[in-house]
Amino acid sequence: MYLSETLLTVLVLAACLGTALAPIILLLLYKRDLKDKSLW
Amino acid sequence: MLDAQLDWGLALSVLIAFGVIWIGFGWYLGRGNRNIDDYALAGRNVGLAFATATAMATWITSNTTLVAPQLAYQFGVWGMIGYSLAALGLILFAPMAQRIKSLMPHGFTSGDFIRTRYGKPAWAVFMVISLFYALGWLVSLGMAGGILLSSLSDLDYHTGMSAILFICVIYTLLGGLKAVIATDFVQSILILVGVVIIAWVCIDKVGIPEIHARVSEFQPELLNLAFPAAIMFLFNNIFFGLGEIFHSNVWWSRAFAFKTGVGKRAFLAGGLLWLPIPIVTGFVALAAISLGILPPSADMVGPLVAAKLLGSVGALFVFVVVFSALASSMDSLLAATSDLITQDGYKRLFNPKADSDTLLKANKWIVISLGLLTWVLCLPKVATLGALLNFTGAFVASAIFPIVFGLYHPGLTGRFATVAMTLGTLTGLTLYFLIGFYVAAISSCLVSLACCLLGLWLFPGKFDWQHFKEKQHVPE
Repeated sequence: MYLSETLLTVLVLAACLGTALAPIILLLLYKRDLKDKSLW
Repeated sequence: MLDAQLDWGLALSVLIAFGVIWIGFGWYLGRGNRNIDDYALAGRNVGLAFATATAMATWITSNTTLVAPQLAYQFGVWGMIGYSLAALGLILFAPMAQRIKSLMPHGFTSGDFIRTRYGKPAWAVFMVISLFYALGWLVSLGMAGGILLSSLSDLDYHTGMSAILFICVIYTLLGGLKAVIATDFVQSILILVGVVIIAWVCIDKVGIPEIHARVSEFQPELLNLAFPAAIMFLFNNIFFGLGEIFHSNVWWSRAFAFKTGVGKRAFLAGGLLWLPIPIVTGFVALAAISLGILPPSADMVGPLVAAKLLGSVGALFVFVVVFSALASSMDSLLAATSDLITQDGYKRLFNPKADSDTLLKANKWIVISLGLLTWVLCLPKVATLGALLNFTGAFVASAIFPIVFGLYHPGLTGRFATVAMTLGTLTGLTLYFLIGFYVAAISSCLVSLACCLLGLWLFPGKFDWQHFKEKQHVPE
């Protein structure tokens, strides 16, 4: 049983999307903590 | 070696620029540290953004950026997925972080917990496991720094290894955990953006259909979903990841440092955000076959592919990403291990009456000593990163169930926790040499679980959770 090209594409694109979203989420959290003065 | 390498002048300039920025940042953040709580646990008040970033960045190590591609190159699709499942460690640690903070609001280290919960014999075994793992990880990070620089530039292994150790030791020394966490935030952004750009260029220049076709033609077993060694690796890696996180003071110190209520959400978010990264870094390695790259050592495949795709700019890019990944873990490990040695070694064994100032000084000397010891151990490049890392799997996986039962079940006694960790480690090490690295963690964990269940069944204890709140167990 071998991984098809379609499944490899889905796996890689989903992983890329997840990784690309991560810094955006972190920056939004930072902005919120900064506004609430709860960074530290 | 690469087609497109950085000359030594540029590599050295980047190293110096990184060093100045991180050390300056560490000094700036460390100015407000007044006592050991500030220095070792960032004042116990870290908010969600920094907490999430540090959980994720610390778990993105040389292994995510160098070993995940190596594993994809060796084990194919299961190598990528297996490595990404190490995120389960962070996700499952989320409720444990909350439990740790509520049981021990004034706790300092994982050693504190084991000693109070199970007594001195279990604590002694745990400290051996913990320190062996910490040194193994530190050495693998130092070696990765050397490998990175020697593969991307004209600088040699020893220069890269020495530089990253020096930079991390100095800024950890100056800023303590606060500097570690703040640099982790910046480093995590750099790593994530860099990884996505490298993957995007790989998809754009080579293409997923081309990569799939070449792998199917020349190494079809990498796409085989029933590749036995790879499936074994997948399960082994899950237990290895759980063992690494559940036992290590790197994560316990964060559970103590995060604001009340933040730990659970931060570890959960950190784990979910970390999950796709090894798939992306692993996928890049599969392009090696299409690009005709034959790495001299499997752990160099990731940087080699990226540098081939992006030329000299790519070499610089990989340098920044992997250097950030290395630094974000090395600083955390230096800080957490020095806390462990300060609290569980220096204070418990040599100077029980030490005040905050004395402990602060001791902690700083221990950071320097750890850096020096790591440097000496890194000098001879004794193993590949993957081999070194997986050797420690036998140790850490034996601590998973003693920690879990220790936190949630009052029945497990110190005697059986000690036996579980000892027998688990010995079994894992034996099978590591008899069968292979991919069974070390899983066998260690299963033997340890059997010992714990036997103890709960035959000689159940009745631990009183209030014991953690008693005065002699609360650090000053």
